[in-house]
Amino acid sequence: MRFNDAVLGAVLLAFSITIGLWARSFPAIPGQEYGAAVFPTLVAVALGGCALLLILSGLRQGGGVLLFEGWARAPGGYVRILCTIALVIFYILAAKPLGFIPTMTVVLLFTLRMLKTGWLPAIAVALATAIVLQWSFGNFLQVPLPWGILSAWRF
Amino acid sequence: MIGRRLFCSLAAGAVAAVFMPAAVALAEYPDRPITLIVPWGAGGGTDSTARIIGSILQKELGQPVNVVNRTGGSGVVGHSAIADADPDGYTLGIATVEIGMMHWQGLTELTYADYTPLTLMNEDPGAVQVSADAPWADLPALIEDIKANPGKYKASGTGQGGIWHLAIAGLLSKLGVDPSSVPWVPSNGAAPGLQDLVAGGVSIVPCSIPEARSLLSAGRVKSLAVMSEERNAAFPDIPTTKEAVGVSWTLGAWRGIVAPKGLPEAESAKLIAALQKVYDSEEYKSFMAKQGFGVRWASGQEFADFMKASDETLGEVMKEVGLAK
Amino acid sequence: MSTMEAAFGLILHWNVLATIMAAALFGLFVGAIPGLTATMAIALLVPVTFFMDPVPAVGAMVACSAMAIFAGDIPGTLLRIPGTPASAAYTNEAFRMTQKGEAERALGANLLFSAVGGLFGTLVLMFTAPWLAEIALKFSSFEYFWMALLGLTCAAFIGASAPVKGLISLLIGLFVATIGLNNPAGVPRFAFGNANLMGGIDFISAMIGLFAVSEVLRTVAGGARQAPMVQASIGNLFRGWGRLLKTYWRQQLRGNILGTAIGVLPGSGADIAAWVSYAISRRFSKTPEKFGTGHLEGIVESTSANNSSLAGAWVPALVFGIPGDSITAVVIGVLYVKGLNPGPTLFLTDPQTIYAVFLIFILANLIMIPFGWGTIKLAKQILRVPSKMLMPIILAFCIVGAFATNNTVFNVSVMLVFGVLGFVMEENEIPIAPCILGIVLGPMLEQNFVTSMIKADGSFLGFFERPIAASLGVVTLLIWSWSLASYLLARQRSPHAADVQAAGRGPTKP
Repeated sequence: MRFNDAVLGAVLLAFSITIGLWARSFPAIPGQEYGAAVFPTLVAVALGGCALLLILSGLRQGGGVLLFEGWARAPGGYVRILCTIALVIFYILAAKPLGFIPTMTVVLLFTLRMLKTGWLPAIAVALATAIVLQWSFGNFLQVPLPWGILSAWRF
Repeated sequence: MIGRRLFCSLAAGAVAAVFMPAAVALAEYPDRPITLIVPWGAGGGTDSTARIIGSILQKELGQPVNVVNRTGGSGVVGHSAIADADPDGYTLGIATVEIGMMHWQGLTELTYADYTPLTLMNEDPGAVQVSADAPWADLPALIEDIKANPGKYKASGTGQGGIWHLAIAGLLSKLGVDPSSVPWVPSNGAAPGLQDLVAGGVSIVPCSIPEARSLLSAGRVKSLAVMSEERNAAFPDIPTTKEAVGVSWTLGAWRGIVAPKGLPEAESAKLIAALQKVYDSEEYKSFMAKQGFGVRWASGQEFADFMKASDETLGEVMKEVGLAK
Repeated sequence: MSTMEAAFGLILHWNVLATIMAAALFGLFVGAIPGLTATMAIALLVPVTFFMDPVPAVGAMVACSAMAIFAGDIPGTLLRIPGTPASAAYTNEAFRMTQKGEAERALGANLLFSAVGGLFGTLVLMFTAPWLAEIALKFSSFEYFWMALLGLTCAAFIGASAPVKGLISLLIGLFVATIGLNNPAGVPRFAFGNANLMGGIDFISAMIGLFAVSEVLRTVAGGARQAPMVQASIGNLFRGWGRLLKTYWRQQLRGNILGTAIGVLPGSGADIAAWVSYAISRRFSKTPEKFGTGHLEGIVESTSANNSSLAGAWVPALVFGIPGDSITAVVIGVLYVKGLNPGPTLFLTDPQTIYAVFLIFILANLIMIPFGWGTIKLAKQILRVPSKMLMPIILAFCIVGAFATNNTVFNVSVMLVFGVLGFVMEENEIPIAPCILGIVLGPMLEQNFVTSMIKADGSFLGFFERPIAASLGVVTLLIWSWSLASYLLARQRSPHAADVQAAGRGPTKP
């Protein structure tokens, strides 16, 4: 999924203008001549410059706005990417209320099935990974992975 | 088949868990591990203090105490995490002096009032460090020089508006000197500030004695005055501000254990009792003495009053320096 | 010599040796898990060391940190997840070697040069510590500003077939570094009033996202149908080491010297050492075009650098109590507790303990070889797992690793955002390495620029007034003008070369 350089350049230009303008709103510090805005402004200006160069080279090349090669030719690729992203978002939202083991098992099970792993190995791998991670991180590394609904059975 | 069966039993367990809490609540507090949140990075003074407290508290309570670092945003992130946790006694935190500073700067709404105060464990007053080869023999000489050359001497040792910035600004204003005549150079803590002092980048570092201790012993920096009522036991030659310039100015960094607001009385009493044992323990005392850290005790309401007073002093200085919103 | 004998006497106890072994294993384990850094491994050891004698306590920390930095190379090489930030510089390069079936060769070289680098750093620490510490203390913000700028110049050498895209990546990294409160002014920037964003973007979560999650997304997009990457077994890892040492002695020595030097300077550690060394290796290589395709040369130089910087960081820590990196920051606290107060007098009052610590450094780097060898042989098996099962597990490790950086689910979101960003960037041939360098060096550059300007009362001349700063500044400016001149010259000689290259890259490619 390649964008034409001109498209990328335009996006980056808009982005650099946004951060440049935003930086203007940073308060000055009494007794400090070089405040919070200096560095972001420099970055914004440089990024804007690079974006313009990219737009120029993109326009010179011409061609389509998007180029599809490799996985991007088949629709399945996009679905799988979006599913993966959605699963991580599910983890972010559900990990605390549900707990690590149930949430991670669901995430793993979906991903494994999406990649066409058989049901049985998928369930086994998902459960084993989640339980081992909870156990080892919680006990050896003092990482407080949430227990959620399984609080009564913490180990 | 094993996988599926395991899954079924786990699902059944999950359902059961929802209906279980009533039974669980009967067990006596604490019946599971406690988390102690540190708003500063692994390896710093607050972190090591929390870790020694945690390891002794663990013995007192008979449950593991896991020390967890939540860093970033000049302490805002960690302090918010403590306040936002459930007040069930299973999440505690180590609050630091910054809790009385952040809200004046408009960084957060949080104040000391958002916590259940448990115990104050430590306080380290600031001191005025200058390079060993600096021309000033004592604090009055330094102050005269600052008055004569406003803006010439720079100071460093924390970020903009950090505790040591306020320490020097408050001292100057007590002495009737404009605080802006010593411009502040922000740094990521006392160590880089001290390094810059020795390298000749800045002239004054108003950090605490334990932070400057190795360079003091090595004869690379000298301390002109300590901002407390009494002299430091490890360095009894350093005068207090009152002795040096006749003005009583005290300000220090403190650390204390707090819980989220609304912790039930029973848990709070149990924790305070356990923390008192920690504070009185030989291990804690000798650890703090070896690190050069000061110890100071206050508990419950007394600790709340301490935080309130600290909050007000800091607010005054910050308004004067123009850092408060 | 009696001091040396006393020092040997201190470490040749079964409990000291057992402690060191256990700490080494722990370091290997933590270092190999993405998201858990060497610093974290050390911090977890602190409560344990309270109950130990001084020598085993310090020995445990030395062994643990050396192992963790080496172990960080393992997931980086096999799965493209850098285990510690110090491995990030050459993660991509090492992973390309794995794709070519040369995982064992890459890891074997990592192991060898890590151990040699550690030994080199130790020797420097043993013989020149007081002298080097004096130099390190002369560095003020002016010197650090030039150092950071020199480091950023490296970005020009580490990536990109198209310089503009490399620069864009670097600027994105610099922008990311400005998010949050941790700037000299203490003002929240680009944070939307969100407490988590005020804390800034966590570098390790971002790194896991850019490298590992983007790779997961790419593999998943293709349906993860690839067969496992077949690995050539080189059997005995030790065979061929002699030849490696002979071929790459130049890179190794340069990496060692640079790594130690960067380590000695407070405020810069193993991660910066690895980046700068990788860039220098490419700049002076006879075959720079091979870099980025799975070429051993750059890996050798930067892995030599990151392990030697570890010992370097102890120089200012032992002599002046000023931490050389985040690991020694923890160690200094332990030294005080054990009554080994850092200071120039430490070498006079308690020489046998200090020499015992040095001996442990040497021991730790020697046992790294058998331990590392076993770990490599074991870890390599993971590549036999088919991609369709491996990718979900990698995703799980990424999530847990990002969570563990600050124990907050917010960093999982950071990881996801940077994963998507890295994926889009690589699809569009924007290299991700300069972006990471920008995130690492951005705060250092800004901090030292702003504080220098305050100190110099806004005068640029301040940057050239001190002798070391002036020399560093002149070197930086020379490198810039020389690079620009040689670029323009090359353009003049073959005026069409640049256009042809641009067209070749373009989406209009037939």
